[in-house]
Amino acid sequence: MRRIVVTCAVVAVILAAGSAPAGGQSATPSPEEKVTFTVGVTYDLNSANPIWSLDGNEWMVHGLEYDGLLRYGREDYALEREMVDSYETSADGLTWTFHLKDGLTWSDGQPVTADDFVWTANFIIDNDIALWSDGYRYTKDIVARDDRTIVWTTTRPSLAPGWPGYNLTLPKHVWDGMSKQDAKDFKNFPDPVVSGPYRLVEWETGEYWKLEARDDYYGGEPLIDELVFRVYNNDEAVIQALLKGAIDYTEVPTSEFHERLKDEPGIESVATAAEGFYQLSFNLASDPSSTANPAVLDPEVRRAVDAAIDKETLIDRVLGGYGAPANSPIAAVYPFWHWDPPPDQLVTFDPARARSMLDDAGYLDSDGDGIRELPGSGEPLQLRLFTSADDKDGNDAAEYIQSWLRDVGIDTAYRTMAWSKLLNIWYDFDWDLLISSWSNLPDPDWLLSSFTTGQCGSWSDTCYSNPTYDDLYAEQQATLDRSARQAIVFEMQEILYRDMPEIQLWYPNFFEAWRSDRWTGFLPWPEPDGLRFHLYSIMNIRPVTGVATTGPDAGPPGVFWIAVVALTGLLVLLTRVRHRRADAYYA
Amino acid sequence: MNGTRYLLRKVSEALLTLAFVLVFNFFLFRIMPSDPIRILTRQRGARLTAEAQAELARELGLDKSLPGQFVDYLGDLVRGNLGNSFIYRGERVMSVFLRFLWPTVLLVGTATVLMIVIGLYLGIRGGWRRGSGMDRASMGLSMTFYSTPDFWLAMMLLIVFSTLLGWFPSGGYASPNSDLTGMAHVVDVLNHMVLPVITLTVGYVGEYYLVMRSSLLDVMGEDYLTAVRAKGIREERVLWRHAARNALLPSISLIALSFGFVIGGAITVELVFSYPGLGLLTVHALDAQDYWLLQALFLFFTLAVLISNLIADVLYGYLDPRVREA
Repeated sequence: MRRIVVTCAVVAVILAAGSAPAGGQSATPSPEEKVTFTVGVTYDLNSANPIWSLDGNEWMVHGLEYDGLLRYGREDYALEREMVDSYETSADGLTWTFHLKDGLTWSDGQPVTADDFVWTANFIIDNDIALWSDGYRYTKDIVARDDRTIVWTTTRPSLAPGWPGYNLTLPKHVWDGMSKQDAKDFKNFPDPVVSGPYRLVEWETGEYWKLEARDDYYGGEPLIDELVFRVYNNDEAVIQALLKGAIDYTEVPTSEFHERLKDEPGIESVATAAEGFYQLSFNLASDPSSTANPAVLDPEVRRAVDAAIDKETLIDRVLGGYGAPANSPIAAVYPFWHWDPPPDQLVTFDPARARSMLDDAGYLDSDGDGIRELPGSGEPLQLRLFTSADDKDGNDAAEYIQSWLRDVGIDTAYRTMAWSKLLNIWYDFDWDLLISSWSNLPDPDWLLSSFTTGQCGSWSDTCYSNPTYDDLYAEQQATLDRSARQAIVFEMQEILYRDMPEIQLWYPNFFEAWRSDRWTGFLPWPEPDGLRFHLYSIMNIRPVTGVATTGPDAGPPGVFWIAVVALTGLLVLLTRVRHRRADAYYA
Repeated sequence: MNGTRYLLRKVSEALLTLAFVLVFNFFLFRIMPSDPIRILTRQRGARLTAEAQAELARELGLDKSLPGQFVDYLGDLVRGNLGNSFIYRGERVMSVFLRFLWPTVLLVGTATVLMIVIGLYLGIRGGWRRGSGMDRASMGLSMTFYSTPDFWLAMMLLIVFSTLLGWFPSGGYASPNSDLTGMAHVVDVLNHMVLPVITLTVGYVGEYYLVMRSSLLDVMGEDYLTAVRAKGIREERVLWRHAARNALLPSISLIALSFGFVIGGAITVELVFSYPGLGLLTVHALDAQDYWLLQALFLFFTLAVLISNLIADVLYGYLDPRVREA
């Protein structure tokens, strides 16, 4: 019995000692303590190797670790210089020359040179590393004229060398000598050698990853010393963590959460203008296996569908007002590239007009059942509408759209299913209408490419094909003059609006929230109401005076564990006593 | 002699099941609609060109026909190679598995031990004094919690004890801070375990309670207990030495089986408390359709259940000779 008492006492003392630092964390850290900013995320970091980056969070980490030649400016996404002092393009548009800044260093102290850039480019081209090779298309050669000058020659005029995020600079002295497989297997952790302001220093899969500021960063030491990303695996938990103060910032998953958070003291939750859009796509595949109803191939039917949809009501009822009506895939958050249809081309909500458009195109309800028939075949105008089961907004919208189409004599069979199943139907061309969404990049090239003929089966939602559009796509890519390119990009959007391979429904807001009682300095990217959490903010966020770090998220004070041990000991003792007594009577 | 035959039969049954599962696992995940690359192509922030998709498919062997992939899979299996994970690029499936194994064993293992000890104790006490205040209270409470969805219970505990009262961390296996070492780290890990362990224990204690209680009730009318009592033995000893011991048999197989399910993790509780265990890993692997990780996970889950089943059978045969003879 004494053994139990002694064991319990020892365990209790050890546990109490262990919990002292965790439980007794000081609320106001001294000035020399690190400034830590904690981000709550609902996804994990799967790879720290930049040539293997596949999804958004990996791009975030390597964006902080590796600087580019250029970057998108904060005001309107215009190109800005990052690692270069200056750059110029030749009059024929075939040569880009970049001049690196003086004093660039890798985190191990070695200088960043033109040779590093050239080595990386050639490594990607020679090994055909498909994730990156897109950024080097039409490249003739890339050479280092001297330590700080990169000369990039292309076989035809190309914007690609100027695109941030499409090319990479790795430290040659670390990567040189690797085979393609070596490079793909390379963990790049621990101790990554980086050129950017932060380095990945801790990484526990499924739990968190931590980036540490470089005090020798050429752009100045960041204000936040440690940037921690904590993984939460569901939306409610990450919001609770923000309310508790265990994290300082998180993306807010839905407008309902935003409504809950926006009046909480000490928290600021904002609806930022989104770069993406929601769409109703039409199956235009010419593939023989396509089961599309011939009606969706008729542009007049597609325009009539557009006229039958009330986008304002969708935004009010489905999004709770958090969104803006859309008429182009390039959102209004990109004012330079965004095109609005002029009033004479604008299709507005007008069921009567939709009906007369369908009448004129020969889709008449000849049997009086309220559903039109296809001219010729006499088949009823019935379309299959699909959505992904986890897309709440898309599902809500589908129900409205179904009833509006019914109003103009189009019957829809609406089904929602798991995303993976939907993808199968999608790529097998076994559908008529489909609701989904896309996000976008600051340069319109990528999104515009998804409407080109060659993207059928890959990024194209509709398998839309228009040779004029394809030519314009190639032309804008080779137009280095920004305003000349703008004119082409506008024309492409106009074609898309006329042909209407898909109806853009709305630009949704995106929600972000942070502890405004602790932090200040979030900058919209772009102005005036773009995203709030990105490199510019990270370099500008600072503690509100007197509070300098993420709040404690530790456990109970040591006395809790002492009590647990004492209680367990007591229970064991009591049972023993009882048993002994029983034994004693038996004897 | 009989014992050996019994054991051999059980082992060969287990091996047959295992062989079936090995084949079944391969097709099970591949008949899921879509494939990992399609899912990745449409993921937010992903920028997979058609060439990159083709290259990935080639590397993963997905460009081959299904029978071709199956042959590769069997060949790798024979060599003991479970392949690389798709989500955790370039990492062996085995090492991913091992990394997520420990938190699950710690969490679900602790909870399982607690629910067994508490459940059996309450079941014995409740059965012995059927209808007493304690019996009714344990029955009411354990059945209420047993029928409560565990994600809801977990969320309530999280909101009350983490957000509002601030007593426990908001989730995870440990604090995102490698400065905590030694005892401080141990206590930190314990702190993170409290709420998930309570959720699991409280939620499942009813299972053991019910089984134990009813089997105790079964033996209570037996003649040998009357005989023991007639010898003048104290009630407390009658209960623990004679009644409870014989009534434990059904619980033993339940317990052995429970430990087989430990490594399957606790998906919902791991999700709510963001606990990096095998349950969570399974969810991630399913989301991304990581065939290789899924095959391995289900193989290990099957193995654990088979082994614990085998142990239950053997133990049962050992404890109860009637089973062996049958």
